[in-house]
Amino acid sequence: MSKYLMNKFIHHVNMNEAAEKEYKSNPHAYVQKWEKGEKLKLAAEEREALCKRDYGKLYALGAHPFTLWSFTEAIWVHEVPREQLVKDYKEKAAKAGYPDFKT
Amino acid sequence: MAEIVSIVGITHNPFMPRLFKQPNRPPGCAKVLERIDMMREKLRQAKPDVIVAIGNDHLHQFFMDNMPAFMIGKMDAYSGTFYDEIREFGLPTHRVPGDLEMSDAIMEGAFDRGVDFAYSNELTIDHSIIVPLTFVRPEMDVPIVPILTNCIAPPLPRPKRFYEVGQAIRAVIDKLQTNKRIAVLVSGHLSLEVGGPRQFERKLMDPNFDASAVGWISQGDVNGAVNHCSFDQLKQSGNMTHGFLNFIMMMGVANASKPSYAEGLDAGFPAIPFFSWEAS
Repeated sequence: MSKYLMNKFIHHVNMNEAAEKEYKSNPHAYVQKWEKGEKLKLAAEEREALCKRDYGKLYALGAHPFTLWSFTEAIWVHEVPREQLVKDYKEKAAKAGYPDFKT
Repeated sequence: MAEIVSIVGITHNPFMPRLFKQPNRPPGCAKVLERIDMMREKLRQAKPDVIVAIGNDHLHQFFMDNMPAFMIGKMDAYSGTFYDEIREFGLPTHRVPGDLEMSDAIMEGAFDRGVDFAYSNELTIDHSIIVPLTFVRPEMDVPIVPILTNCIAPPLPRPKRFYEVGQAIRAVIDKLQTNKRIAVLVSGHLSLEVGGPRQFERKLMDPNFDASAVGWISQGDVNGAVNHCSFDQLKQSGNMTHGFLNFIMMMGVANASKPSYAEGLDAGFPAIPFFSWEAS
């Protein structure tokens, strides 16, 4: 069930401007705060990937690719030019192939 | 009796409305815009009183806490789109009138034909409805009945079911006691990848799939379509190719008749679908 929760976090941050801002300003603190309000629990590696904004790892763990890209752009493009971000995302995704994103 | 006066199948590529406004747009855009103009004109000439707008929610209204297979909107007006789509695609927000009575009639008629739609009295529409309307009815003045599918969060309903739901929608509309002129606008895609290793490539994703898919629709080859479009088969052609399932539903709405126009346009992007049927 933790994969569902990882996707729920990505979805939540992606769709809410306030959550997006708070997560970007302190990812680790925001993940901890958010998870406390949830009944389900993240797996340790999912939590770590979210705290590190590690999109390559999230992709490998089966985050939904459609939402993951949108989320990745939202939380990184203020620091990394989009073209470079697209390139790096695709390289990291290529290493993982096509993980199962069914929840 | 009600009449389906037009069926149009078109892309919902959310990047295109912004791309078309750029002064230095890629050369392929001219061909795309020409096709869009043609489809807009076909729909205008059909003079629809209501548009049944079929698309797939992209994890906006739907999420895996409560995932419907097929949902019908039951509202007298719909707003769209969501914060993330405004941010990522630069899509403006819209408010589109709804035909609540028609939503109810289609839903209840579908129940009688073995299709149990989920429904929503608080539905926000995303780019799968907004973008096709932007292209073919930019005035957004014709009331809509939105029908949303799950093509994105596996497990998905089977391709055959998409066809059957399309057929049921057609059968219900054909028997409606109304003089309204009904158009059906379907959005989806051919081979496509988003959020995977091959996203954002300025070329066809899988030309063989695209040609086969356009062939199934052109020939009304339902068996061809349903036998080649399982989740695992479609993902071989790009991780979001499942949006083609909406076009299998469109085949059902057309009762597998041959379209007047069918194309997967190669314009330097993943293939851009254009399909149409006029009233017989």
